[in-house]
Amino acid sequence: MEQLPCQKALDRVIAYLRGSGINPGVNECCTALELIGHALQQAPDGDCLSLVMELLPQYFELPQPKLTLEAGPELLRGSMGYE
Amino acid sequence: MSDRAPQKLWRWRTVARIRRSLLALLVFGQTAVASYYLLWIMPYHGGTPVEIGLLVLFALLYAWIAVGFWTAVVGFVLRLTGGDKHSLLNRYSSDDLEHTPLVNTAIVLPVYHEPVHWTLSGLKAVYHELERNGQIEHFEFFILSDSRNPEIWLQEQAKWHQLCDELGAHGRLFYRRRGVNLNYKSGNVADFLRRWGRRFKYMVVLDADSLMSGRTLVRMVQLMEREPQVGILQTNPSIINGQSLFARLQQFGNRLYSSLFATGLAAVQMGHAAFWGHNAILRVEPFMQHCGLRKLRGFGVFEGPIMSHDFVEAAYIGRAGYEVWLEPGLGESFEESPPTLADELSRDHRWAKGNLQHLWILCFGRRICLAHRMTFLNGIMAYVASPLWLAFLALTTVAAAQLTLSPIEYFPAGHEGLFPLWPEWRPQWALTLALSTLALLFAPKFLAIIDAIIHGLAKGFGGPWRLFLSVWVEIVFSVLLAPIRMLAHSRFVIASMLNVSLSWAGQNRTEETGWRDALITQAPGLAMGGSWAVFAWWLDVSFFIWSLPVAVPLILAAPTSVLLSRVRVGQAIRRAGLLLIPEELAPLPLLKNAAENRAQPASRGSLGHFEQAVLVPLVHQQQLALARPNRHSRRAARLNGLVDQCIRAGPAALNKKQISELCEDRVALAALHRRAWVAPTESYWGQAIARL
Repeated sequence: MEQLPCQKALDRVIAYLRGSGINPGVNECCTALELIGHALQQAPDGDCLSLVMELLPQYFELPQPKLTLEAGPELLRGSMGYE
Repeated sequence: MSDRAPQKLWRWRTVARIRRSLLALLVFGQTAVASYYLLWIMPYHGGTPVEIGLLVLFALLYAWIAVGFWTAVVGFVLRLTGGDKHSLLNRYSSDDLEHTPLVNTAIVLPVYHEPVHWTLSGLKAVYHELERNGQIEHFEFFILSDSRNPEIWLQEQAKWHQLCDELGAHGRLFYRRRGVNLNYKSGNVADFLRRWGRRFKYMVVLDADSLMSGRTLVRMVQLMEREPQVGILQTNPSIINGQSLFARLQQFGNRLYSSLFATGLAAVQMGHAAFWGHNAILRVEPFMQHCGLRKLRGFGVFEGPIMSHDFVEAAYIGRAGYEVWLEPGLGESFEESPPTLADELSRDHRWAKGNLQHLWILCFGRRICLAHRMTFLNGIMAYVASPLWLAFLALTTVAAAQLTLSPIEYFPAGHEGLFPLWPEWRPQWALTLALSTLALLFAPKFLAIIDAIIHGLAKGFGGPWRLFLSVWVEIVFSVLLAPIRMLAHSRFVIASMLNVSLSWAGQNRTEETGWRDALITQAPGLAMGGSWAVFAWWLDVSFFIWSLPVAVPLILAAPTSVLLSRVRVGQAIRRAGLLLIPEELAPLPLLKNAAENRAQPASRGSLGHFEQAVLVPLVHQQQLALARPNRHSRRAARLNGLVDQCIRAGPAALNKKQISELCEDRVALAALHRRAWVAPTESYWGQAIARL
């Protein structure tokens, strides 16, 4: 039996949360359903996936990686000498 | 070099001059005597062109092995008398060194398609060491990647990020990937120096498999602070982590014999030592000022970027008036051996070409001192000795064939005089000469046993008897390997001189050698060894027996290669208590730590690293932060096309360069993430999400 668009959307939300390091519990599932309900209302043709993924960060507090990464310290340029 | 101490400088140079003169006297004196023996052993006493050729080749090869022998003897004697009192380390008490303040030092790790988890887990252990020593604040770490394959460099970045988090090393552990790879590893390091060189007084260069203890790193900086005229200080790395029989033989030989050879070498070279490219500390300012490597302007192999940069850099910094020291006493410096013969030979292929390039600098390099020119010659001879040996065997065969098949020439070409030249044979002299050659080759191995027993180190090798047995095992395999290496190196030298690229099978660094690969790779040697033995048998039985030490290893090359690559055999040998090294019986905390780090699971899930960078939100965010924000309109249009293609058909539709471009561009990567997450379930990305 083919999955309904809302089922697909729920699968994606759960997968995204897991990929973000969140193990979805009851609260997260309820919030996901709320998000999908909202998206379904906004997307009357039933294809709500794009909207769900767009709104997802507004519904969940996604963990952010420590992005203070510096690929290198401040440059202090010099040159190589060729004799 | 304001702090230069002229008296000290004068002193070591005088000592070096005396030692080198003595070494030259011993080597050339012994070679002259041996050549004289050969001259009288040969039936016409050098009266034919073949005999003259044999004599010249013999003298060159004999002198070459005599250098090794006397270097080991010097090392043995010095160790017996308490070490070289002129070495850098012996100039200071431990207390003096410990009270020498440290300065800002970079630890750089150039990588190019190395096993990421393994390599960076080793770096983590080095970082831990300096933390344990309480000296981490004086060091900064740089991973300098030249990797092109996105699956590898994305993994490098992810692992670097993980390390920064685990170690709390944000702002101390850095990652830089070059956009354009120029001039191999030296170009990679030069790029680092151009960006950040002026931040640091010293730079420690590591290889992907290098490990160095915090104690040694700290001591190196302290020595450099104490000796401002030293430009490069090289440690003598011990080989560790050998699993296959081949790697275990290499690490055993290195660990046991190198104490003699390295001590002897350091004593002869003194402040004119070589740089081996890693496990060394460099004084950054003079290195930047004097060690830029121009492309060679010769022809063929002598044209283009310098491949083996280290010897040249040592010569250049020496030319600028700085000293280069090898300090075996530093210890706790490690590297690894290639796991198989095929891996070693593929590495030798590169090194042979690189070392031959040094011939150009040896001949035409300006103001390079004789000692550094001798280092070039030493490196060149490490490979050129093989074709010389091959030529010697070929001439021996010609001489034997002439004696057997042709009538005796009483008046050979070039012989002038009324009286005939009577051929003479002196089998006893021949035996003496053969025994003296064997002694040069094998005596250092037995000196190393005596050295280990005298210094109470035999226990670390499993005890005196196991040590003795292990040396015999090592000798058997080194005899089996010598003709195989000789043939392969001859091929590499000829290919390099003709500037043609020859492939050598077996580029893996982890897998064992299969029978098929071994048979294909060793087929030329098998054919040559077999036909030579048959010809020798047909010619003369005694010549056949003489040919066996070379012919048999060539005939057995394939099984030897397969057997040596087997980890199971290596482990069985270890269980039998043979080929042990002290670091296995009592591992240092550094080695334990590195082994534990490397034993941790490496990969995350079933997705590739590109898929992770696109899909996994945390990884994607990290990658996004490192990607470039700027894009020109033409480039943007091209990248948009690549994003479309990648979403439609998956990464298989793109090549590695295109995938790299997408990952390097912040907008393209964000678009990929957004579109992949809304892709249909049955699409490539939909399936990838299901595997998350």
